[in-house]
Parts: sequence; structure tokens; C-alpha cells
Amino acid sequence: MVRARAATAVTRAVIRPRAGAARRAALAALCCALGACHSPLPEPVTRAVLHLHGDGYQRGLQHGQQQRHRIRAFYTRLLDVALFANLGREQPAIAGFLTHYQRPEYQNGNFSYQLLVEMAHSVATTLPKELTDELQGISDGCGLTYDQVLVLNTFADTVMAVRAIASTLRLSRGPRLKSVQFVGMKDGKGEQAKAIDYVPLAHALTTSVPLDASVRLVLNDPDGVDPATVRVVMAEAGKPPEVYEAGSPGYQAEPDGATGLAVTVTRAGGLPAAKAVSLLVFSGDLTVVSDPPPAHARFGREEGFAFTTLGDARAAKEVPNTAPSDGRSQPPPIAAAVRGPASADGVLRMAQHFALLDAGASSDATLVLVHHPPTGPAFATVGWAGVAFGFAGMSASGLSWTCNFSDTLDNAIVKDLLPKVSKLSTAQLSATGWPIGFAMRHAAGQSASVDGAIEALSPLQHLMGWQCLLGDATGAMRGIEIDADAKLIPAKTVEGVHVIGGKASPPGPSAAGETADELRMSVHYVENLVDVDPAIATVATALLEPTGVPVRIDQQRVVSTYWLKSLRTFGQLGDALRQGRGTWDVASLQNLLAEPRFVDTSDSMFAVVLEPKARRLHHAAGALPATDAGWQVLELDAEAP
Amino acid sequence: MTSALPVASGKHVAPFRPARALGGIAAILALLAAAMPARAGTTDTLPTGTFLLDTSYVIALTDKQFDRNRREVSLIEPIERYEAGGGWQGTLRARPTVDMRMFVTQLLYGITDRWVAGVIVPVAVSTTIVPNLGWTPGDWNSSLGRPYSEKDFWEWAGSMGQPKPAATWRGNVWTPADLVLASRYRLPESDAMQRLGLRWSVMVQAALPTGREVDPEEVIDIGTSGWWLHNFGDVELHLAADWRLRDAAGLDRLTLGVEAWYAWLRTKTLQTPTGAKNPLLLTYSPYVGDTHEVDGGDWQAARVAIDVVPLIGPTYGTWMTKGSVAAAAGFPPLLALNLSYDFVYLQPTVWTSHDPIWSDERARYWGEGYKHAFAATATLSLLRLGAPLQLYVRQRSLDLVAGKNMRPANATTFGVRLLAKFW
Repeated sequence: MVRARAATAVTRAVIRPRAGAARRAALAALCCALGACHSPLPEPVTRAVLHLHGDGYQRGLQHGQQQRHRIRAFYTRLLDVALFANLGREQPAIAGFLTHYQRPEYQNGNFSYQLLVEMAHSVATTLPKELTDELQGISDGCGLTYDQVLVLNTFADTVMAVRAIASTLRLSRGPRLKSVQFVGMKDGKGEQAKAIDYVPLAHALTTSVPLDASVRLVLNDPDGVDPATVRVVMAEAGKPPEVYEAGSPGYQAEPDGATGLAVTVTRAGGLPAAKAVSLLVFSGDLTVVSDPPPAHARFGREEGFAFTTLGDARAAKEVPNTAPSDGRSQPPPIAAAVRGPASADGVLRMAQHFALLDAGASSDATLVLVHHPPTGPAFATVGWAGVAFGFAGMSASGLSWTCNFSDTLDNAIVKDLLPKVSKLSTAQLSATGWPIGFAMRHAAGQSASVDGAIEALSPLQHLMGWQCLLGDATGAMRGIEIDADAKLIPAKTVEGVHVIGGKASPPGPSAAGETADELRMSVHYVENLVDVDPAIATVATALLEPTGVPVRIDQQRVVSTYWLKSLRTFGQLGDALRQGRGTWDVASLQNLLAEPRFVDTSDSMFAVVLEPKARRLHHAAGALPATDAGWQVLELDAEAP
Repeated sequence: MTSALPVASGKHVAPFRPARALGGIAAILALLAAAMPARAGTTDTLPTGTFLLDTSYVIALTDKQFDRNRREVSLIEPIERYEAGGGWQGTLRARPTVDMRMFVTQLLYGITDRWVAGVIVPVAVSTTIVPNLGWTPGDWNSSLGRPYSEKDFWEWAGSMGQPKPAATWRGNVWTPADLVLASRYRLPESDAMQRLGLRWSVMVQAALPTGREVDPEEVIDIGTSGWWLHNFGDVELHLAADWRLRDAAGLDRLTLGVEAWYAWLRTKTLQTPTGAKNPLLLTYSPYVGDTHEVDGGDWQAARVAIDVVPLIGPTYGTWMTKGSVAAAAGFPPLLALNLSYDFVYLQPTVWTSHDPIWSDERARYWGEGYKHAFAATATLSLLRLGAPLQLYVRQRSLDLVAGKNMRPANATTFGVRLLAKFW
């Protein structure tokens, strides 16, 4: 049975007159004398807790009726005004590639909605009737069409999948970091060490670099690299980063072949002794892309690597690649779990600060749903008005989850596209699979245990990449990494769930947990390191190269724009967990989630601290960033209203 | 670096809607209270059968508002723009200036010596709004290789059908405002009051909705209804009293007046923007409702005024008095100066719609508040010289002392009054 301790929350700053001033008091007295004493108007609610009872349709209907106007506001502001309009800007690029989208039904501003509703329909084919009934109930209650509600409940997964493809298309045309050479570093024969082909790694690229070495980076782009766009950031742990760009001391650039640019960076005073140093490289080419506006050069992905200098005896794999921050990015979402010696009292606790797309809309529409289905345990999700799930939740039996997206090309759109790859010109995008929020609801209804939940999640076809933490009332915890398991040659069974803690990721500085009682996550895969079937990458390259479309289908660490900043935040989260080891309680975890290094001030959406054993869900939502909203607690052991 | 997710939006917390924010620029209409008296007594009426035609040209300027903490802020809140997944695009800033010109005609008639009635016809000559847009760059955008500049932002917005507002908006050309009907009755004085030089009066006025409402789909616009001018209520009830210090010749050399009034503002039903012209900035109706209501909040106000006569001037017996100097001596002095202070308490304006958050955001600068209005008027009366004319100039200021939740419009008025009696 479930009860909300704080059934509704007013989280906006209350306007209160400042007290005290005699003049103010005199004015107030005058106003009252004139018959005009007024109490402040009630503040609007930006976070609500809603209990839903009955079967799927009934719960959806209650949701839709009671949140009617918040749902409509959220849909209009996030989808109509923000997402559809901006996604529409991608139509020329997508329609140029997939000519199906040149058809009349996609014109006149209908592209985005039409694209997303078609994908939503393909998603709906995988969902059980109880869930689609619930969406119908929301629709009937709030007055949006069923299709609109369907889009609202699927777009997070489908748009992230579209975004992964669009981003790959865009970045594939930008400069690439081809090689890294440490000038002055000798090989075994005493000669200048050869350049290292650049490969994105979660650990150091090389070790024991001489202190007087320079770093020579070769960038390549078919259209030529613009030296004016190159920016290199170098940092050692605990020191402010140093920026090298055209005109900076220590920065040199020269052509490298017809389409390359060699940039050499030399640190004044030499490299620090016995340190791990990391570099960040950003560059654009000489073209100008003017459609859609504004005009800009084509930029490549931000790349970064780490190395150690002479005196640091660690092996490369012992040194995490924690790319320096140059203040130009927001941190991605984080999640962590602690128990046993890692927590203050040995009890399992989980924490998450989720960020994706506030767009100035979601923080006004936050909603904690507490479902009381006729069968199975009650469960709560932290989400938004009109959305039947959340990316964090807890069942009354204690099963708890947090999910962060994981940017990958191993998604349902790519999977659905594979059979159509020979007819790309007429192919239509679809995405068949379970949105993560519904998948987690399904798992929570199936089992009270982490292992049972993994068992329930494993056979599902998933839509997009996700990273979830699971915990239960017994103190069991697991991380899982999810993808669509797209394979060039389809397997009989879907293997889209990868459990953290296998041989590939033993506890350590680059792993999800430095000890067996800690787990941390950001948005990059730790276990699922070969997310994209290499055969797909090979075939895609072979098929697309002759067409002149330089699309680089590759692993997450090679193509995702989130990967490097996720490494950075992941490293910082590991530092924080280590420093606080043995002290983590609810308050300290809440403080951790509010630390500026973990707060995306633009797109923060909610934060939670979960206590599976106590069935307590602490949530912060309804402000931007979410942790500014204050914390409330939902006790799932209490009696339902 | 941020990567641009192909979605974007703007916070509706700060709507780019200068039009409404510019509402209440007024303090531009003198109205009956000031037009009626030959001088500034708050109880003056006209002699029986006398017409007074008052025409004035008003220049009202405003470029700021006072917030709930009485701080001076822009008429338009900064608007934070977000490109979801791409982070904070930047902050759109505006420091608009509003220049409103009005032509006000007032026709008053003395029904009896104690009772006067009139009609006030305000017409907007033109309104000019210069938004003075500015921009604070936001997060670094890895797709652009730079943070959004203002130019980048408007190009981005333009690609989604959202035009950039014009650098200068001009409208309301010869557009009627709300027409006002008014009547004042000077109450009978007791013997004691007469001995003490005290008079009192009651006045009612009512506005007819002849003014223009804004086009809800326009980003920059301002109406001419009483709500937009924010200087008079739909119905007002005034009680006034004054005390006059007379010289040996029976002339009022000093008048002290007090007045209190209540202004009732009716609840208006307004069309909600659909975003037809400004999809990014004004798509509200799907969740706000096709219409919404605005309860303007009533006002309670009080005035103190002092009227001094520095110069009586020469007095001639003319055609107006059939040659009687004695009769002409009853006319107003050649020069009269009036100083007044108004305290206007504003009840909160309440927006009601389907979306409480939207309504709350509209009301951010329209909470409970007050105005401090100071005015100085100099009136040159030619009646004693044989011309039935009065010329006056008035300066009214609402920002000498900061108000609360109000938009101060400082107005300069040039007016002329013509008195006539036909029977």
C-alpha cells in the first residue's frame, strides 16, 4: 500500500513581501484602510503526486482527467513548439537520404509529427494491451488524440534514436583526429616513436611520455581542416586546463597532405612529471553549411585522450581517460548505488540526477505517478504529465530502478532499417520495441528481485540504448546496459541486456564500480563495449561509400558526442564515491546530486534517491535544475489514499 | 561541448510579449478631475448652461517598470532560450521604449451650478515601440562551433517560421480609446462648511469599450482600451473636498483639495494567441484555452492637491461680461499653478486560464502594487482679458518615487479650454 507523504507540492518560489520597513507598513496600513488587504495568490503547482487505481484504462483516464491541462501544456510546449519545429529543420537532410520523406504528407510542417507518429505506431505493436489501454485512457481524459499521447509516451526513445543517426550523419562529414604523435618520445630502437592511430579509449592512450615532448595531432577532412577552428585543451588532474588555439604560444599548425592539418602543441616548461595528462581536441572544416541556418562550418566530434608522463608507473589500462573540461559543456546524467561498507549504515541506496531535454517545459510538468493495479504490486514512477512512466521508479515490493539514456547506433531504427538497406531511397523509418519506461514497469510487475527483473527485461526488444541501475529490498544491485541488439544476421533471441559486473568490467578505476558495493553510471557503456555489430559497420561503409555519403557507423565510443563528457563525469562521480565511501546516507546523496559538476543547468529534469528496503522514494523535480526544487519523500509502505 | 539534439524550445516563463507588458503606460488622460475646474479645486463645477471644451495633446513615454520589490526593470523580462539537448542558447533581452501620443477631447456642460456632466473622447494619435533587442550568448554549441549569437538565434528561429520582431513598431494611428462619461455633483455645504471655506463633491465616471484590443497574434502591439492605458477604471466613484483661502476681494488664492476614489475594472475575456504568426513565441491556445480572462484588479486611490494663484492679472469688462468688470473679477486668475500627488493602490491583476502556470507568469509584474503620481499644472486663463480660453501645460511623473508592480509613464500635456454659454 502506498501513500504520498506530500501529496502535492508547490515548488515555485513564493512571492513574499519583505517584512519590516516602516514605510512599507504604513503603505500597507493605508491600503487596508482603503479596503484593499490581499493575501498572496496560491502558487501554481509544478510537481504533483497522483495515485491511480483500477485497470490500465481506468488509471489512464484518471491520469488524463486530473492532469488534463498540464498534459496539454507539456505536449504543446515540449513537442509542438520545441521538438516538432526543430526536428523539422532536419527534413531536407533526411529526405535527401530517404526520399520517402519528400512525399506530400510530410510537407507543410507535418514532417516531424508524421515521422514520430509513424514510429510510435510501430512501437505500439510491441506493447501489451493494458498499456495501450492506459494511453487510450489518458487520451480520453485529457482530450489529446490517442496518436498524440502515443507520441508523448514514445518520443524519448525514438527521438534519441533519430538523434543518434542525425548526429552521425552530421559528424561523419566533419574532421577526424587521425593520429597522435609524441614528438621527442623514442621507441625501443632509440628513434622517434611513430604516430599512434587515434582510437577513442576509456583509458590512457600511452604511458611514460618524456617531459620535453610535444604532442602532434593530425586531423583530416575531405574538405580541409580550418586551422582557425582548432582548439586543444590540455590538463593534468587538479589543475586548470590550458587552451591552445591559433595564435596561442606553443601552438603550431601546418598542412598535412591535401586534406589534413598537423597541429603541434608544446607546453611551456614541459609536461608535468609523473602525472596523467589529458587532451581535448575540437576542429571544424573549411565548408560552410547554411541549411538549416545559422551558417556554420562542419565540426567533428570532440575527441580526447589521456597519457602519463615519465615517472608515473601505472599501466595504460589503470589510467582512466577523464577528458578535461573547458567549461563548454553541461554534465550528462548520473546514477549511483551504494551499500555495505560504501553506505553509512550498510543499507542499499540509489541516486540519480537525470537530464535530457527540459526545453523550458518539462520542469513545469513533473508528475510522480503511483499506480495501484488490480494485480501485482503498486509502483511509483517519476515523470511528467501525460507520460505513463518515468526513468526512475520503485515498486511496493522494493524493486527500484534508475535509467539514463545511452547514445548508440544499436537502436531499433537501425535495426528496422537493416532489411531495407538495399532500397534506402524508398525506406521508411520505423522503430519496433519497448520504450525503456514501459520495459521497467513491465519488469517491476514481474519480479521483486533484481535478478527477476533482469530476467523479465532480457527477452524484450528494446528501442534505444539505456543504462539502468536496479536494486531490491534484499540489498541486491546490478547495472544493466541496454541496446536494440541489431545484427546484420538476425539472431534467434534478442540479447539487448548486458549486465555489469562480468569479466569485462571487474571493479577498478574505469569500471562501473571501484568496489563490489558501489555502482556508478553516466551515459556511456562500460560493459557493452561492442554495441554496434561490426558487420553492420563494414557493410554500411561498403554500401554508402560509393554513394559519396561518408557515414561512419561505428561503436558508441567512436561516434557518440556524449561519450567523452560521460567519461569525464563518470570519473568525477567515481572520485566523489571514493571520497564519501562509508558515509553515504540520503542527505549526502542528495547533496551529491546537487553538486554543480553533476548538474546540467539547462536540461536537468529530476533527481531521486531511492531506498529499496524502506520503500522510500525521495524526489526533487519541478524546477530547473531539479535539485533546486527541494526534496519530497514518497513512502510506498504507507497506506494508499 | 554540447551536442544539439534536434529539438528546441524556449521557456514560457518569460513570454516575449511586450504588448501586455506595456499595458498601463498611461497616466495620460487628464479626465474630468483635472479638466473640470477652472483651477484645480477637486470640487469645481461649471456655471449653469456653460460648456467647456477641452482639447489636449499628450505625449507619454515609458521605458521601464517597477517590480514587486520596487526595483526598476525592463518592460520585458529577459527570455532564456533553450535548444533541448543543445542547452541554453542564450538570453534574449529587450529594453523597449514606448512613445504614445494621444489627442483628448473633453466636452463638459454645467447642468446646474452644482452639477456638471461630460464626455471624454481620447484618441491615440500614434504609438511607437522600439524593442531595443539584445542578446546574452548561452552555452557553447558544438554543432555551430560557437555559442548562438543574436543573429544566429533569429536565423534559427526563422527556420522554424518565427520572424524577428520589427526594430520599430508603429501603430494605433488615430485610433479611439475607451470613451468616458462623467458627472460631478457638488454637495450642499452646511453653514459651518461655508464659513470655513469647505466644499465637497461626488463624481462618477464610466468607460465605454470603444478602445482597441491588441491583435493576440502579434508579438509587439499595444491597445488603446482603458486596460492598456491603465489610467482609469471602467467605473469610478470619487469623493472630494477642498478648502479655499480667499483674499479680501473674494478670490481663491489658495486651494487645498483631497480626493479619494475607487476604480472598478471589469473582467475581460481575451483571445489567446494561437501562434499563427509567431509559432515559437505565442503558441498558447492549445493549453491555455481559446480565450482567457483578465481581472484587472480594482484600485483605491487618494489625491492631495494644492492650487495657488501667483498672478491674478488685469481684469476687464468685456463682451463676455457685458462690460462688467465686477463680473469679470469672478473669472479664474490669469495664472494658476497646481501641484498634486496621487497614491493609487492596485489590487492584483489576475489571469485565469486553463493553465495556472501560464496565468501566474502573466501576472508576474501585475501583483498587488501602487503608483506614486506627481503632477504639476500651469494654467493661463484669458477669461479676464475677454477671451474664453484657457491654455495649460501639465507634467505628470510616476517615477519620481518608485512604485510597485506598475509601469510608470511620464506624460506631458498641452491643452486648451474653450468656455461657451449659449443660453
